[in-house]
Amino acid sequence: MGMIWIMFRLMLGLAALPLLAQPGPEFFETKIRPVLAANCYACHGAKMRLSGLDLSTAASFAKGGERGALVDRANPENSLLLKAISYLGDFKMPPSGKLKADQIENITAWVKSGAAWPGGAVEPQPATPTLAKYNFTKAQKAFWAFQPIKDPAPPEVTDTAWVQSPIDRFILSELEKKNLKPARPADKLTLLRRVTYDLTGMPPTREEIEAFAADKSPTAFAKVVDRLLASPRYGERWGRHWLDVARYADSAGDDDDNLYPYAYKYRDWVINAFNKDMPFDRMVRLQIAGDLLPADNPSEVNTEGIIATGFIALGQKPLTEQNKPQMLYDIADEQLDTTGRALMGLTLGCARCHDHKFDPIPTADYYSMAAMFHDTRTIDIVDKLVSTVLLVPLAPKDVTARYRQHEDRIKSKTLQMDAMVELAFEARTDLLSAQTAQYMVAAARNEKPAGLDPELIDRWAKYLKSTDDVRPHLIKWNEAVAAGRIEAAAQEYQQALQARTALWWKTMAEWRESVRAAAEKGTLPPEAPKFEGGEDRFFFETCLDGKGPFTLPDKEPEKLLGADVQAKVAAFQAEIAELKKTAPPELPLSCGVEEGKPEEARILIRGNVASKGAVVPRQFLQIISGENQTPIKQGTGRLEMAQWLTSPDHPLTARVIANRIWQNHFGEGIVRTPNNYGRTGELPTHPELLDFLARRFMQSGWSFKAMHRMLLLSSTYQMSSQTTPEAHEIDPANRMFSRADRRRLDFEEIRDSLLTYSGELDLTMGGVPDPGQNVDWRKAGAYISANKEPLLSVRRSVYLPLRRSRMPSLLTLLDFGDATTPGEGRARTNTAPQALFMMNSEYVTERSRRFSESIQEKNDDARVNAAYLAITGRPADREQVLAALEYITGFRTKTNDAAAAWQSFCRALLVSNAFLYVD
Amino acid sequence: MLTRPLSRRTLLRQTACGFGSLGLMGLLNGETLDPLAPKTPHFAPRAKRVVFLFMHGGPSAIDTFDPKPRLDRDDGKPLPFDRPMVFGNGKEMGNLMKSPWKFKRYGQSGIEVSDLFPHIGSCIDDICVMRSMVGDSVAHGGAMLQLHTGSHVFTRPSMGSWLLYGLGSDNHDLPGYIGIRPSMTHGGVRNWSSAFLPAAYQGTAIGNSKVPVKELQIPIENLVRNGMPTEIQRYELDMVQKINRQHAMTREFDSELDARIQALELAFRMQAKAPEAFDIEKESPATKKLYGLDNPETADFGWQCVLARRLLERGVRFVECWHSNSQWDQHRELVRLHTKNAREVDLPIAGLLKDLKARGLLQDTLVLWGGEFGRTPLVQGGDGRDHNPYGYTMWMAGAGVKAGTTYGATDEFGYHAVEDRMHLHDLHATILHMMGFDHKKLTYRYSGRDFRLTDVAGEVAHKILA
Repeated sequence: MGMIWIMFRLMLGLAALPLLAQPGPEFFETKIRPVLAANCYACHGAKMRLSGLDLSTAASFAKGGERGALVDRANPENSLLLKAISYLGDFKMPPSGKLKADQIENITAWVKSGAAWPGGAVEPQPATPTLAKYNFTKAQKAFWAFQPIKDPAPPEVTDTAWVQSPIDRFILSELEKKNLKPARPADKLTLLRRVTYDLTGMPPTREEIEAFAADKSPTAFAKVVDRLLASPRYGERWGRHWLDVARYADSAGDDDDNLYPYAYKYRDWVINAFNKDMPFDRMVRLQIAGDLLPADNPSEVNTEGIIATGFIALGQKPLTEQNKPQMLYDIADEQLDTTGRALMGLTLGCARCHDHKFDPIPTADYYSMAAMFHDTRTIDIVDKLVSTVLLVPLAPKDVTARYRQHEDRIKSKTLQMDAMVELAFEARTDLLSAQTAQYMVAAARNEKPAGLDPELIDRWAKYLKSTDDVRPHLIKWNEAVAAGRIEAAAQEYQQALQARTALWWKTMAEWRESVRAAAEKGTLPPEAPKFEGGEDRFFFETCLDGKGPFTLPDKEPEKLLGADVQAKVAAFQAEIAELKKTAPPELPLSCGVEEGKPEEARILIRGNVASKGAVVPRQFLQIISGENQTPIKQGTGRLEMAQWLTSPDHPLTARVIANRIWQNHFGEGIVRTPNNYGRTGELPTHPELLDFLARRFMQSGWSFKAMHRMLLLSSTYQMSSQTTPEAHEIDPANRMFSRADRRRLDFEEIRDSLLTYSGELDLTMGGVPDPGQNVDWRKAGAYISANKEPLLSVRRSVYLPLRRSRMPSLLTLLDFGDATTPGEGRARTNTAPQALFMMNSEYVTERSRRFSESIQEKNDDARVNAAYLAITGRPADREQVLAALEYITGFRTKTNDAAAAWQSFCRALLVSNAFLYVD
Repeated sequence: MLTRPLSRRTLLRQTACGFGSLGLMGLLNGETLDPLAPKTPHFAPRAKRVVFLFMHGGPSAIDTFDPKPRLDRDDGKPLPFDRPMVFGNGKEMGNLMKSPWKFKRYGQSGIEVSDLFPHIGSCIDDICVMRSMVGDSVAHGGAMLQLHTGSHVFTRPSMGSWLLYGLGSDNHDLPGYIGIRPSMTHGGVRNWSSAFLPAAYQGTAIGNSKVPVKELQIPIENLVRNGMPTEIQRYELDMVQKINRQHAMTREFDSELDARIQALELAFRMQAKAPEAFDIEKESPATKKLYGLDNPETADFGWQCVLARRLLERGVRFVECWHSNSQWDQHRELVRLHTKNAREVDLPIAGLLKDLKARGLLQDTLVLWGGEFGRTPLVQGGDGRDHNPYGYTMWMAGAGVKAGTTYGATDEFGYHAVEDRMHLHDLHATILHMMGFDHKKLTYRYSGRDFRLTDVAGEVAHKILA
């Protein structure tokens, strides 16, 4: 220890010299090592050793890397290290950018002096790879997903009687090849419950069950399908499916989980689009470039289009990333990756740092398209500690400008008022601070001398009272108190305080002057400067912050500043109130995007924003659109992207959405990896059917509802979920769709059903997210824990707030997902904690209690029946009635509580698989 | 076993059964499909379980475990090299600031620890101080995600999830991965998320940093049915199962329905057994004192540490104790608030180390301590320090760790790690190594690609292994 100290002291003498004749250890430690560590070690440290080079120790430096020694001892100027950092030759290091001139100078001096390493040199990899032409292999070009969508004719089948819809031929033909029979048709009530949950996410009502059971006509089921498709509940259900794909949430998921305050407008737009059966190609165009498309009435702002771009805007964003250029690329990456997976089933994000390892997506193509999002604005203010998300006005530019001007006027007035109050505050503080010593002494001695405000003495006493906290600025005071030297100490504190206030008032005077000048010119004055507490904690705490003895209260500070100030404040407030009264209507806003300024599209080497590579044309995937495209020269290219995606020639968009619709009706997609149509995804089980669906979908005008009808009015959909031993043997995972899918209800279906049974469900549609209890969702965290929101709200689950960092545990428990990447279809886990929720939670207790009380029937048999009908979609059979009655009797015997017995029975039914699974 | 070609959905559909495993075995491609069945790692592990004492906010390395005499000398002088990127625009950044605390040598090893941690100091001979930690993000959210998941940008499975995925669980009545009072900020649930791994590997949160300990008597949600005697509940469950059996009779060949029947039984057993693990009152007065439960200052984190030990004893694979109610994020008032934070955790952590040792658990339990980054040698805002991910300290103790040693070093100012740099990927590789895994081979296929905790990097720090 002692030796080291002496060495340090010796070095200090040297450090003071500007440039050292003989760079020593000090020079190395301050000028060389930190530069190497900050710029080189990530690649050339003990861990990565790129090119076999490790710059972190003397020995490894001396050894050099694959390119040889770093330092040429005989001829230091020729040292490899110096060549690399000089950026003069082909070989440049660091690749992220040239070091600063003084850094290069220092390293040069150090190398020339012998490169002494107290107690030990870098080698590079080739810099920017040039954009070599990507050679697609034959196999890549022939890969199924990139082939044009065919228009296959439904195949011939033997059992034509089974065929109700063309899709049945595709399914049956495969089954017949395997000598398999399709499952028998499902009975009517099973079918009704299935289709009702499928299309609306809700259980069929008693009336609906009875009506369908009574309808013997051949079109009975078609009528049900029409009724359900016309229900607003349909959009809430299918909108939610799309929101999964769009990784929709109400917050950015950054450090503070900043809110997207108007994301809900996108959610409502989606629900509404489904309800009115908006053509999907239009939906896609609006979501990618709605802000650039004309409104229905061309003279108006395309409100709907702007809202729809929420699809791009609402991803998770690292708003606190301090490397802001990197942040903007990370955001563009998220948007491109989402677009790729959601709309094309391509994992474009994999091509960010290198050509896609499995699919024919060169990095160049990635950056050709990433540029379209990168140059689109989704961030308002970038250069802030926490960047702010863009809120796009849903109003014409002049209306927006008028609104903002008016806002500025109010702000300006408020700042003028603040400046006036500040001046009075300073005068008061000057008077008081001149008495600081007296107050401190009085507080310490617990005295109330005349001339001092007794209340202020108390506040001083409270402030000075010792606590467990260590307060460095009061250490001297505490010592003085202990030593009985309080008067002298108090004087010192007072002098320091007065000196500090005088200094700070100067800063504030400058600010007041700029407020005055701005008001005169009619511009927006600057915000008041904030005193940095750590510069003088005593001044800050006693005069400025919170409950300090001399601090003004936050509320109505003017009351302590005399009648004159009060009158002036009142006058200002009257003016401000008047301004607010005459304000234009509040500007409607959305969380969407705007065109930014297109920059040259360039590859980033290894995705690193500091390593700019070759320029690439702004164009689309070459595997789809060819190697000779006309690059986009105007704008970001987003509008063209929207057209490209929805072109009938695009091989993926229609296939991907048709597959998703299929998946949501049949449990699995025809492609079972709905977001990955690449080589590592699964091949379609029925490729011709997939193409048939995609073609039909486009022919119908990209209509969801037409597609639902075609799929639902098929024998394939109407099969039973029960299989036979033979079918189970040949097709255990139901890859041939030889039976209907049996599935667990998802989170929304469970919760919405429970609320339906309890009679609490509020079917109000749309609007701000609902955390329950009429709490403002933006402030919900302060009143309601996110975990409680699904338990308190009585709206449909699609209207719950979704904050990425505060996903309620119930959503996680029931496989909602995390809303950060495009959904692939909900997982269906089966866990003990889920069982505990159903068995034990207060939530289910309360819903079952309300439900049991609501079923009032003429007798117990009918009551059991009503419970079964609601929860399982069919009446109870005799055995079930008897079992229930026996249970209820037993329960009453044990507890002597009839109400509890009925509640327990209803709960048992809700906990059971008869509720939780839909056949 | 660990790299599976099945799609996630298929796997979940057929296998996932939460944190229980009994009776939920199925066979597909000849594999055991219970995701939480105990599994054998790649090679013999040094550690069987992990407790991570996470100091949210970023405790200062140069004020705790990495003394920098140079700062005493150069206090108030400018940094003699370019300041790397800090959090914010750097306007409030000042010159070098020496540590307000004195350092003292502790134990046989003589490793220096500051006056903030006298109790941890007393355990220093069991500790390996890693002074050369490096992360990639200067923001809390990014840094915490990278510490927990390896990525500071994307949603990835957390290290606890990876360990559970690799090793399964030794306890069927408790979750295999538990976070005690985690923070809902700075990524929140994403820090203990299983992301694309099956949900069975998700961390289970016990309360959160804003929920007082006294409200955590039944810390796992829905574990107990209020107001219903067990026998009545059994009676009710019998009815549920009767309905289930009748329901299943006409629905053959569906292992999922069977699995749910089993899950209900498992849940019923759990509610009987699990609460015992949380019954801290059963601890002896001496133990309570050891963890500081008798002092309001240390009672909360002490409770978390005792609970951690009880959970580890019962076979929970990964426990994370979050010290997060008052964060270590001292941009201002370093002295007052670092002192307060240190007082809250110092004694309980030492208590945990001593207790684990006394019970023979330390030999196969890995204890990890640290924040998401350290703090700058430069003063910020007059009396604070900013974030420093370029060189900071974490420490390990217990299973397989070379005790009473230091590893790596920062430069003289404590800014950059310069020797034996331990990037977070390296930390993860090393932890996986200790748990018996080659980090390059513990992979999971998702969306067309094999993912791993260490992404495409990571080197095992063999020097810290005993």
